[in-house]
Amino acid sequence: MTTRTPEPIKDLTELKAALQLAVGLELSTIPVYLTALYSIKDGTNTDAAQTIRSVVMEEMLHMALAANVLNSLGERPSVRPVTFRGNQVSPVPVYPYTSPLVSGIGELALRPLSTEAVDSFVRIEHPYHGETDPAKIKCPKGGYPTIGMFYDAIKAALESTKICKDSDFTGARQVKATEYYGGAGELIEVTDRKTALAAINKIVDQGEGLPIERMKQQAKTVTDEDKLGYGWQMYSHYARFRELQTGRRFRSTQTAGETPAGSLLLVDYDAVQPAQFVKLNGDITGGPEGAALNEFDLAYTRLVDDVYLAFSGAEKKVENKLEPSGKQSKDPLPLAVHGMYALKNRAVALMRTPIPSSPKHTLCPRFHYAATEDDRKKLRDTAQQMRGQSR
Amino acid sequence: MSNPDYDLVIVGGGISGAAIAKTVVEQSAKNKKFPRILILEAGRATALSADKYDTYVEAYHEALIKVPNSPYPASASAPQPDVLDIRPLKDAHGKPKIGDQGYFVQKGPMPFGSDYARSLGGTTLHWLGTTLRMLPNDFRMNETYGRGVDWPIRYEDLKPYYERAEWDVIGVAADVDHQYYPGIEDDDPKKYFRSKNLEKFKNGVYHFPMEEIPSSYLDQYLAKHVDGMTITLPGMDRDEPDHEFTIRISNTPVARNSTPTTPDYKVVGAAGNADRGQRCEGNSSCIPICPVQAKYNALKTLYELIVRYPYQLKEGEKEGQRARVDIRSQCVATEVMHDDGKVTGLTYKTYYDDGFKPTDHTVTARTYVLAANAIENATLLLASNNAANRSDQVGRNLMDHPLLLTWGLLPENVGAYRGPGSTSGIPSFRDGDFRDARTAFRVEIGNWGWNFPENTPYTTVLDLVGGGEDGKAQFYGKALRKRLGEILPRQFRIAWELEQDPEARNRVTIDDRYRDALNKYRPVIEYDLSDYVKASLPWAAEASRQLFAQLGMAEKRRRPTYETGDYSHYDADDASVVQYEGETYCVRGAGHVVGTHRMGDDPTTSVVDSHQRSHDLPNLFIAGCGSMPTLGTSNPTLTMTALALRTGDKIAEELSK
Repeated sequence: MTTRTPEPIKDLTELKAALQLAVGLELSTIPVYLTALYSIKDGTNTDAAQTIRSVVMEEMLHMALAANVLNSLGERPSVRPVTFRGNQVSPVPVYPYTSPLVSGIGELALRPLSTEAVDSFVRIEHPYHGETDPAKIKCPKGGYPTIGMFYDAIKAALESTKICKDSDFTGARQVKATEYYGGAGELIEVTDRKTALAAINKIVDQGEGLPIERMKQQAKTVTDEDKLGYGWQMYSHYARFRELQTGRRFRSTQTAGETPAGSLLLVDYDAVQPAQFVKLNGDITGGPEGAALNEFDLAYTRLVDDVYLAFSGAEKKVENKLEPSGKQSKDPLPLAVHGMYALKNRAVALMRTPIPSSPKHTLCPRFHYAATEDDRKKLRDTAQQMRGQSR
Repeated sequence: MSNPDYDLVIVGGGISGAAIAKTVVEQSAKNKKFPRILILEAGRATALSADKYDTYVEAYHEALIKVPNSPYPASASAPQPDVLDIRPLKDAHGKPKIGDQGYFVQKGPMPFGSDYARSLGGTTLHWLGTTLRMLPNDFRMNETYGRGVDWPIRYEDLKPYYERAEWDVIGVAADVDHQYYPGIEDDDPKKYFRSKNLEKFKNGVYHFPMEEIPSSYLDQYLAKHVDGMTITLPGMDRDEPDHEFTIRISNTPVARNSTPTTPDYKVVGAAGNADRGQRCEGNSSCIPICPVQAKYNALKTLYELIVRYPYQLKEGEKEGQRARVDIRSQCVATEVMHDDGKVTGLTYKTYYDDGFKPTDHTVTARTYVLAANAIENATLLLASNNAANRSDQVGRNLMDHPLLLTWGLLPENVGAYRGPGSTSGIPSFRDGDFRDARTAFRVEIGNWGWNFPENTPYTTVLDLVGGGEDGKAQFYGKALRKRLGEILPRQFRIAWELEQDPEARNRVTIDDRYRDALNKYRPVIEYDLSDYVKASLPWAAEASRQLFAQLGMAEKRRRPTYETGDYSHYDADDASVVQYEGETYCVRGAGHVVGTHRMGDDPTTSVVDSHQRSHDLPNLFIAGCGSMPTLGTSNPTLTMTALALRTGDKIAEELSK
């Protein structure tokens, strides 16, 4: 067996496909972190919740940054499967998810906050995904061993005037800096090569794809761009999750590669809902519980659609009885924000509801994106049936 | 005094004190001066850390009756008024009775219906966040209408400070084009808001730092049904013709985070947790607490001060290189010491939560500012050997916006109980020639159903569950939820907020018999409404009738039945009942505590000058809503903040000398 090495991106078409997958890659970690975040019982684990929440918000920022780069190159972000080096890859994952693009991340699973969950977070955000040498990670066909290498390839392509000309950066359909909020730093509007590279650098700098050299730098190093209002500073995702994993903060003098030895950061793994993930069609949960799981998936599907609709610059028709036509056009981005809050409420409710056949556990949101209208109809129809069931 | 402890001591860690401190620091820096500032706060500082703020949110969730102060724990050492303490000020035989069960000692004849919070951050913790500017005529009531008194400054004088308050301190979300006010030049909001700051606003075209908070579905529903309708209100007698008002639903400027209008504007999130609260999330609990701090509160400004200008010098820092701000909570000011026409020091008591006895302290400064609530400022001055009171106006002219509530059940679902407490109003009655005979009023459209007048949704649940005489529940389970879903989203209420005129008899005094646990004086309040105010009650009620009729709610109804109609009613045994021309009304307090140390040019009729400086004690500034000579119809916090900025500039100028 020969060792495969990651390939550089060869042309603009491939770059666009890679960026489509980058948008999806950023999206794919969000449900993993949200499941842990929403499993935390109200009023407990404040530090853990704040850490996870801050990382989620940066993943959202990264998703928008990748979308801005893609849009600037004239391509609309889409949930449709992408052909990348001969493989059909869906940008939106189904959990548990093993990325065909980046092998080092391993399986992304939805778990409540637990030591296993935190271990997996550290693995996702480590430059070599927990390995000492990236050569030890098998490179998938047409893909990359690490997220860092994937973004390196994108950066190299963006730098290359052969792959993209200056005139290829159109600055189309940008999500504006004023429209992104919630900490995490500022959204960059991509109008040219320089801002495109700045956008990718920002993704890499905060989170996944962190260069290995950074492990030798101070754990709490932040770049200027990560300095938020009032001197609020965010260091790398890896360092933040390492603090959760070890139960201690980094000292300001420590490097990211060391074991945190600062003040205690207590995580109470018992103050967490015992949610248990069961994949779609993989269980016998019917009744209102089954219906609630389906309804969550439908809400998540709508949210993902709204986000992508916003990225594609389209408006959305929504009901408004006060309009003569009964319909009104709205910017889908704020609608998606509504969807995010609605999703949280649903997730928290699910995780408080015992599984009828296994009452020690509670329901776990599936974050199942129903890609086709058929899938959606099936979710709706079965939800309706299950709502009617009584026990 | 050669070596004072501080350059500036501020009593009260609310928005006025915070805005003054921030302004003094920033303006002094321009002259390379770096003052040392002490802020004394009577209440606790709990909310300044983000996770402790959450304990307030929990207290709110657990409170059975969610009044403005319910999230904020009271302390015997710094007690605060609570609207739940309001009782009728008459005994069973109809004889006057003093109400002293709460913090206030209410001597009547009407109870003063408002409260405030004694906690770091002050009453901005539970304000609604309405940030309307005053109208030009509000500053010259005597000149224009022969009522009240005139301000020593005019709208145009205060305008640049309004702009700074909206941008630099509070952060206001609004759209100039959607402000339909009477009494402005050419009825044109662009002219009313036109800025002289041409550097910041091209051609003087003003815009707010953030886009307006979207009007609620209810607002849009009302706009569709009543925009443009004429309301006709009768004159008092045959000589006075009818008055006509055109209704226009106007989106209200608010201190609530939304999308910045320019990338240069940095939205300020929660104190100590900057990534929260960067946008209003529609949690629908602005009063009593915004759980994410998307609504401005003074903690944000105070937090900025202690992070940027900590009192403690860091290693290698030298005195005099930067400003230093010290905030001490649980410190109750007890006396402004004064001698020979100036303040010589300030005494305060510090109380502790661990059983230690309160300790006494004295602090000195070059300049002193009282920036507590208007009632607290007055109480402190009166307790300080009648300080700054040559005019005998300290404590007098106490004002509020008495509210008349009207409420009804609309024929359709309008989505009540969603979004901020109010997103729009009807400004039509805020100014006009009728103000010579009766007071102006603002109309606030409430988004939260009948929670204010009827304590819904809880009472509606009780009505539906019933029980009745036979003890049988009428609705439960799915049927209950369905019926609630049919009723609650149709509940609608309006607050008619009446301008109160200044009267010397409405006053705060002190009395040796009434003191708190620290032996500090409790405020003794005498309060009533003038006929000038009362004359607007029938007008507001009549305007409401016409508006409700247009909306299909003409029929008079009462709980516990629920049908489309007008549910407004006023009980004669209510604590805040007002009888006027044979009709019974109830008025509520708006939490707008104003007027106890009014400003003016004449030291014999006013307490402070236009910079809020005491006429009698020149090194003392008495700041806050207490300085307002008249109230107008706008919620006073924005105006108070603009005045604080003007005062801050003045103090910085003097400290830089």
